[in-house]
Formats: sequence, C-alpha cells, structure tokens
Amino acid sequence: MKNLSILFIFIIILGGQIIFAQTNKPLTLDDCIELALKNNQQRAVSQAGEKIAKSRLGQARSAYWPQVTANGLAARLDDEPIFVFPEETESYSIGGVLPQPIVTEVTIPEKTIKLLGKNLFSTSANLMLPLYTGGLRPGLMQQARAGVQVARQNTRRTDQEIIYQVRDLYFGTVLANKLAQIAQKTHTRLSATLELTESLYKKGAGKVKKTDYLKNKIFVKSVRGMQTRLQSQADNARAGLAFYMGLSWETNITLSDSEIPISKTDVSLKQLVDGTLRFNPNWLSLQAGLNAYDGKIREAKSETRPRLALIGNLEYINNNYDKGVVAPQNTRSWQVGLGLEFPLFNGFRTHHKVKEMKARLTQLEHQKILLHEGLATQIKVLHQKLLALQEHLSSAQEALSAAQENHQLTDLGYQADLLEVQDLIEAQTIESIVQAQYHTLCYDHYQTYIQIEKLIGTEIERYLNE
Amino acid sequence: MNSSKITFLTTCRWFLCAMIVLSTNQHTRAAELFLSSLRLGFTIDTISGVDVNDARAAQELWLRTALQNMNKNNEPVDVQITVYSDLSLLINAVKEHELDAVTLLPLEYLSLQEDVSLIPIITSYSGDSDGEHYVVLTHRENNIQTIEQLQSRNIIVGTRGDKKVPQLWLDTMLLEKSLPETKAFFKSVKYMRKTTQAILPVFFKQVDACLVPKTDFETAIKLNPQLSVGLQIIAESPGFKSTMTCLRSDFHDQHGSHLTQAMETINQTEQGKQFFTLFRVSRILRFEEVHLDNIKNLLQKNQTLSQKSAHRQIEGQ
Repeated sequence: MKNLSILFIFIIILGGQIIFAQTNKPLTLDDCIELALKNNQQRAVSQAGEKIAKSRLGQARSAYWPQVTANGLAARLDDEPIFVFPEETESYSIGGVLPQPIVTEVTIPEKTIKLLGKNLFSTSANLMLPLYTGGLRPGLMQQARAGVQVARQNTRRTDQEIIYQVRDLYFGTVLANKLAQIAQKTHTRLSATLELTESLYKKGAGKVKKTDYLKNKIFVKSVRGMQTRLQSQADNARAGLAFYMGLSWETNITLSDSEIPISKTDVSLKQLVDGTLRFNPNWLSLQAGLNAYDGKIREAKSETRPRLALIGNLEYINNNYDKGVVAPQNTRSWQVGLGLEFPLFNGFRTHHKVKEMKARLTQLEHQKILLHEGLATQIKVLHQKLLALQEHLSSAQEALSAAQENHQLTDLGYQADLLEVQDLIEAQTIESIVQAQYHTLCYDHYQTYIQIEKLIGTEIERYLNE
Repeated sequence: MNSSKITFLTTCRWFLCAMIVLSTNQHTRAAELFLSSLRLGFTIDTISGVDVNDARAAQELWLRTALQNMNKNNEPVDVQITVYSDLSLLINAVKEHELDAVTLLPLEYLSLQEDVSLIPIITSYSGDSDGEHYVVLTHRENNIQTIEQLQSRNIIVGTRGDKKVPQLWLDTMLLEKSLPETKAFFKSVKYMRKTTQAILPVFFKQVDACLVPKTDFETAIKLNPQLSVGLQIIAESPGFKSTMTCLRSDFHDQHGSHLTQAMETINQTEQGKQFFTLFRVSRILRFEEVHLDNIKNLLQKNQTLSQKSAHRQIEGQ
C-alpha cells in the first residue's frame, strides 16, 4: 500500500513534469493557429450560425413533402348526445275511398333520438400535398440556400480573422523579441564601454574626462530605457497571443520561430483582384444576398398566383352505441380531393411588395459595384505597399550587410589600432539601429502580405484543409 | 515490521535526504563565492605604449568582471593591480607572496621560470590561431625583394604590444643570413606604437621598410585596398602568443581551475565579448606547453646563431 502511494506520488511528479514540458514546448505558427481555431468563442458563434441557416434550409425544403397528420380521441361524455325531434302535426287527405276525400290530422309527438353512446374513441389521418404554390416554394428555397451561403461565408470570415490575428500576433511577438534582444545586446555592449570609461576616468591617466563618462552614461541610460520598453512590449505581445489562443493568463509561451519570413510575390494586381472576387467572403456573401432577394421577389409574386393541393382524409370511430350517428356505416370513412385557392384582390399589396423587393435587389447590385471597387482599391493599395516594401527591404538588406561589414572591419581596425574606440562604438550602434530597422521592415512586409491574403481569403483554405 | 520501526526508518530516510540537500547547498555556496580578492602584477613591457594608469584601470575592470561572473551571487571582488618597472621586482613580489597572479610576455616567462614557481593558465593573443605573425614590408616600386637588400636602409618597427619578440625575430633572421644584427644592419631603426605610423611612410616611399603584425597589415589593406598594390611582404615570422597569465604555484593549487574557467569563459557573455573587443584581445586559450614552442625555437636559434657570430668575430680578429 505504501509502495503504491510512493509510486502514485512519483507518477504525479513525473506527470507534472511532462505537462510542464508540454506547455513549455516552443509553439510553431501552425500550433498557435490550431489552438486559436479550437478555443476561440467567436468561431463557435459563427459555426452555430451556419447550423441555424442549414436548419432553415431544411424547413424550406419541407414544403415539397406531403403534410400528413394523425389525430386520435378517446373520450367519456357526461351525457349521451341526443337529437330532439319536435312534435309535428301533418294533415292527410285520403281520397278514392269515399266520394269525398277524407281529411284527417295526425300529430306526431316530440321524440328524443340518441346520437351516440357516452364512450367515444375516434382516429383520423389527414394528408395535404401542395401541387402548385405559384413559386412560393422555390422562392423560400432560394432564400434559405442564400442564408446558408451567407452563414458559411461568415464562418470563413471569422476563421480568416482568427488566422490573420494569430499570424500578426505571432510574428509581432517574434519582432518584439528580436528588438528586445537587439536592445539588450546594445545596452550590454554600451554598459561595458561605460564601465571602462568610468574606470579610466576615475583611475586612469586622465585622458578620459568626467564629461566623457557623463555623455556615455546619458546614452547608456537612454538605451536602457528603450530596452525596458521593448522587453515590456515583447512580454505584452506574448501575453496577447496567449490570450487570443484562449490560453490561461498564467501560461508562459515560447515561440519556435525567431525570424520573420519574407514571402516575396510577383503576382500581378489583376490576378490578385480576380482572386479576391473568387474567394473574398464579403464578396461571396453579397452574391448570396442577391440570390436571397431574387428568392424574395419570387415569394412575393406567388401571392397573386393560384395554389393547388391534393387533400386526403381517413377516419375511424368506435362507440359503445351502434345507432344514431355512430351506426356502422358512419364509423369508417375516407375522402380524397383537390383544393384550390385563388387570390383575387388584396389591395395591390403584392404588387408593392414585389416592387420593394426589386428595389432592394437594385440597391444591392449597386452595393456590389461599390464593394467591387472598394476591394479592388484595397488590393491595389496593399499591392503597391507590398512592392514598395519589397524594394525597401532589398535596400535594408544591403544596408544591414554594409553595417555588419562596417562593424567587422571597424572591429579589425580598432584591434589593429588603426581606428579609435569612438569608431567602434559608432559602428556597433549603427549596426544595431540598422538591424532593428531591417527586422521592423520584415514585419511590415509580412503584415502587408497577410493583409492581402486575408482580403483574398485563400490562406484560410490551406489551414482549414490541413 | 511494527509501526515504530517504520517511523524510525522513515525519519532516517528524511534525515539522509536532508543531509544530502544541505551538503549540496554548502557545495553550491562554496562554488558561488570561490574568490573574494586577487593581486595581479605585470611589467611595464607588457603594456608598451599604453599609459600605466590606464592599463591598470582597464586590467582591474577586466579581472573584476571575469571573477564577478564566476561568483554567482555577483559579490564584489577586490582586485589589486601592480605594475613593475623591472622583472626582478615582480619576481621578488611573487616570492614574498605579495602577488597571486602575474601577466607576462612569453620571453619574460621563459627568463624567470627557473627563479620562481609560476604555473601558466591562460595565453591571450591577436592574429590567427597560430598567434601573431610579423611581416617585413617594402614598396614594390623600390625593387627590394629580400632582407639582404635592406642593408643600410631605414626601417620602422610598428608594434602595438611586445617589441622584444619582433626585434628578436628580425635579429635571428639577419643572423641566419650571416648579416649583422638590426642596429648595425639598418641605417636607422624607429619604433612606432601605431601600425599605420609604420606602414604609411613605406607606402609613400619615405622609409624603405617596416616590420608590423601581419593581421594589422591585412586590416589596413581591407580599409585601404591601395596598400596591397603598393606594398609587398618580403619576410614573415611564425606565430607568437602575446601574453600569458600565471599563478603562484600554491595559489594555483587552491584556485587554479576556477580562475582558468573564469578567464576562459569571459567571452561567452555579451559583456565579456565587448571587453575582449575593447581590450583588443582576439583569442584567449587555456595554456599548453606547445604555445611556447615557436618562441622557444626562436630563442634557441638566436642563441646558437649569436654564439656562432661571436666565434666568427673572434676568429676574424
């Protein structure tokens, strides 16, 4: 028993370590997207909306099926229903017997007739199959199908937003980490230099003056402030990403990527606009909206058209009395027939309803043009921004290489006593600044790239298919 | 087994565990603070061309950083640096236990190793993995291809640190070719602390030759590629290590391994790397006897050749 307890404690400790190890495993971008798609509440809302729309489509489809109902009744009546036959006096004239017809009056007294017994059991089945609804059913179907389309695009839009946000937050965190590292490295280098300056000013030959030390100190402290701010931004970015993925605030995440990818594209603007019109959820929702209004017009028009339905009825009655209305002949019955309804005049209500729906359709078609132009313009702006950033990035890459080479060479020059310490510090600081600029540009480029993908709506398909 | 025995055994186990934990903590605490003070000395030749006070302040900072990094709790370390004008004074200070550690030039170490018991732990140097190479440069247009052609001409020796090793190498090279030693061979010999002050006069044909560290010449070419067009190397030395840090033997027994580790790993932090850069140290290595091979060979060859030359002079007289 004791051994079991020790084993149990051991398992708990080991298990805890495994869980700890799992939560501390560096997360890839795909891990983060998967977690966010799994935990984000907005996605559940959108998915529920899609289910609602699909159910509505099922409801609309029911109009094509016969409506069959069955009724049953078992009752005990307080009294037996009767039919009172009133007193009736009839005059009769009998001729042919006597030369004069004999006229006589017969009075039948009031008579009570029992209709059925107190115990009644009846069942019936009714059937109604619409044969022609004047376009009502296809109209409703069209609207329901459009509703499903809109709901599906809403889900896609939600997924797209989640994926975009995660990608943005993920590489925003990578950038923040990178900048914090650069700031830390710069600060450490400058602090070491400051220490040397202080040591030389206090104990050295006097070539280094207090003003040199103070100037250096001002610079180091400014960089320290910058480093603290960047470190705090990196922490905040990590916390934001963890929150967005639906993880507890206590979870400390680490990311597996340390570099921001540069996805260069040579796709033309026309291809991007075409892609947007094929995949953008807003565009596809609008198309579905147009279909929905078309369905509404059909529904409205159906109000002026005849409706035809097949009607059937089957009935069985059981009663403890076999006379009256429940005589054997009446206990089993059926009927089949065609029902027709023809609206003749409703004060032009339908006419105006159709006009309203046509106007709404026209309104939406104009909105479609606006959306088309809007999407194309957004794509154009982002495409131009991306191309400019690509150019800028190439220059920044060259500047970074030059800054690195300059630092390396200055370092060598300083080692060989060919250059001064100021040259070295300047080269180190310039390299740090150019590095920070380069990584910020990489992030700007990546962010613009994912904005385009979000607008087109293609990237989500890849993640969802995976 | 009754319950009292179980309790007793459990208590024993807990006690044992507690002892292990406590002893580990003691060990850790000892490792956290392995050294609280260090007295280091070096001769003025080690810092040739640099102000003594500046060198002392820089060395103090360097050592304090290395030792403080080893003291995990970052407790301050008292570092005392003394600069000696003469090697004999330094030897006496070690013998009197006034110094725990010394930084020496390889030639200084070889000259005193029999007088005092010192254990080298670290060598530091610039240049390639082999050490610092020295080169003799001439201008291509002057048509000076060999060292012999430099007889009665001007030379500038431009070395940042140790002057003795390049001087010794130059002397040995001349003796090898049965030529007089530097002072007699050249018309004039000037010493400059900065390499550029040696290279540029040769490039501008104001001086016939210069003797500089090879890495400095290569850096100068990278900074100014025209130099490679104008200048040529006519002689190159083997690689020599720049300085050695040694511990007094009894001090080494106590703190040798920790100090070696502290100094070896200083460049593993960003702060340490920066100090490396600022103090112009390219490499720092755990000392091995092989590091002294080149300088020993040079010294031996110089002594042999000097003796031969002396004999020749006597025979000639």
